[in-house]
Amino acid sequence: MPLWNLYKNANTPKLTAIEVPIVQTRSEISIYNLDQQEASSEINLARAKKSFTRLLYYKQGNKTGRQLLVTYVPEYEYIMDKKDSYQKKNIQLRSLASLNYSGYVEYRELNGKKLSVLLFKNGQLNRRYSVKDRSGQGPPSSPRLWQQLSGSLGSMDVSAYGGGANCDWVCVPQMVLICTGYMEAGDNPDEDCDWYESDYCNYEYVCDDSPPDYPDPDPPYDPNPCSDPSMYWMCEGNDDPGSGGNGSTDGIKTTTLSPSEKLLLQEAIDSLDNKCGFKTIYNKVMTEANVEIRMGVTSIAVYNPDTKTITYNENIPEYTLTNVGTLAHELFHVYQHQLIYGATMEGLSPNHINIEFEQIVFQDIVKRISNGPSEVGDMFKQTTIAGFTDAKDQYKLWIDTLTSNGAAYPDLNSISGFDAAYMAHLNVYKIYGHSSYISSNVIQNMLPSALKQLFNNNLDCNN
Amino acid sequence: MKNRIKQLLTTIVCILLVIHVQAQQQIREGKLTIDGNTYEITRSSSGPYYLVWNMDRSELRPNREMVNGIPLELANTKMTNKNELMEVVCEALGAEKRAQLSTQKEKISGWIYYRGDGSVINIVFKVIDHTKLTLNDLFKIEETFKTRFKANLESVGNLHQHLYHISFNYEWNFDQ
Repeated sequence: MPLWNLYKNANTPKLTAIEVPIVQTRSEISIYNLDQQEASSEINLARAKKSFTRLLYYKQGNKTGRQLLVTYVPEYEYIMDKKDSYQKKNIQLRSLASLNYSGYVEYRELNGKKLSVLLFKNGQLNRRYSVKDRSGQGPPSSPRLWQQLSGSLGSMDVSAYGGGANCDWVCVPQMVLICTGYMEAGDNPDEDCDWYESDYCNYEYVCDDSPPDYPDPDPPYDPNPCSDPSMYWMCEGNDDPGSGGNGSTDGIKTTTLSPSEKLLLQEAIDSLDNKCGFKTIYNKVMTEANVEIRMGVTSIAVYNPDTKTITYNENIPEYTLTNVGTLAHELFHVYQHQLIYGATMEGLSPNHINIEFEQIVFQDIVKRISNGPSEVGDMFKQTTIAGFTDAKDQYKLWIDTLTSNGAAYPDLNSISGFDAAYMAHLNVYKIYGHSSYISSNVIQNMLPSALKQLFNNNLDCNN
Repeated sequence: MKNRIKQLLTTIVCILLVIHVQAQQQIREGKLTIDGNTYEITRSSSGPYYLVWNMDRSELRPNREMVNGIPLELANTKMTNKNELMEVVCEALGAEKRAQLSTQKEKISGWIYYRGDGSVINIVFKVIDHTKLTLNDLFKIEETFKTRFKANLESVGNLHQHLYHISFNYEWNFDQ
């Protein structure tokens, strides 16, 4: 769980970045010792206790941002040297030089895939390693002992930089942190947590990517952040995280959001990838509409056609901004307004039943395909009114039919009688629907054009 | 004498069978009571189906909109043990009834209302017109769920725990 309010600035001249502490009830840390001999369990334990992981979010210009996990694993000598002055909260990417940090900095994807491991000595980048994905291959059938491998890796023939000769299997001790009880922000994890050394080391295929003359003992000033050793990992290599992102963000402005609010919203944007229908709406808004996302006073979130703004509840951003359903809901309203209904929608009251029911059908079609049938019809709420079960059941059946039982997105224009069926369900929803929506009157001649123009023969979701 | 005794025993068995069959309430439109539970049975407007629902809906009052300033609609509740539902149904129905349903390719669909702690409030059943199921079977399914099952629910910030009720659809197919 990220502690967003405790974020630290990690900006570079080229990148907007923040580091965010995270609370974990279980974590596993690789105790790298790539340039030294094998250490005792006591030393590994001491290093594990001083190690920690943060969430790193960064973005370049208006590209979509990216998240990584950054883990700091200090060297034993550094911990002993600093003693009580060693404080996790002081260590961050921008302070490594000033703190004369000696130890490893590991970058990995949120799914655990390791990208690179940097070794710092006295605040300066000393070596750069990459951890290659060799899943399925495993270590050699008769793996050499760790100390032998570490010795060979530490004295690799650096003249072969860039080639495979600098790579080898390395046994990296794993320390596992297991916490019991319920933890909250501000709790000291040391009180309820214990470290355990895993019985089995983790065989990793590690490459020493340090160039022959690296590090330069007297580097000239260079304004390019990619020349900054501490940002080296962001700018080089095939796994260049700086090149991440999906398209431009021209259609959605978030300039008034704080960095932490942008991060929260990014969580929802990232989740759109799992649902093609949602992603399609997002892409349409990005390329064919424009909207500003703000924080303000509202229940959850609301789209205002007059100002072309989506306002999220400013008091609970961690709940509202991260919710992918909320984002898809409001973006669908943007799409309805700016690409389909125009002035017609501007004249309607907020929460108008025609507008909202069309959004509900949109969400249920996407949910039926992505999540299965279990949540379809959730927006039928009036359980105490006679005929409720039949109304909800009819609606579920209709969504099943439209999606071929969840197998494919429909081409609504080719379905005979779709308009009539839609209006019939809308009129039933007027009786059994969400209390916020059923106070308005159904406009009988307002057909679901937004749905029909979205779910048409050109939708690229069924491949 | 032996024949007389045999005849008498056969008669007794037949009477017991008739009593048993009569105790099994067939599903038909209306309000039927079983063991103190009244069920509303209505015809579906979509075809030859019945919708069966326990009339004790006292817990299905509208959910609260907010708790501590957080709208409960943001809960985004997920159920992580849906695969256990079928086991409970099979246990409640027994092998013989399951075989009958399988032969007829009959399935049951509908939705279940859960409390925030995952326990079952009641169940909406949709069954075919000439179902092999009796109201006793549906009652037994509901009772088994109420006494033996808890849904594992997860939500944003555990908001689901503040909801009076949460529903998830189901479809039980006895072909396998």
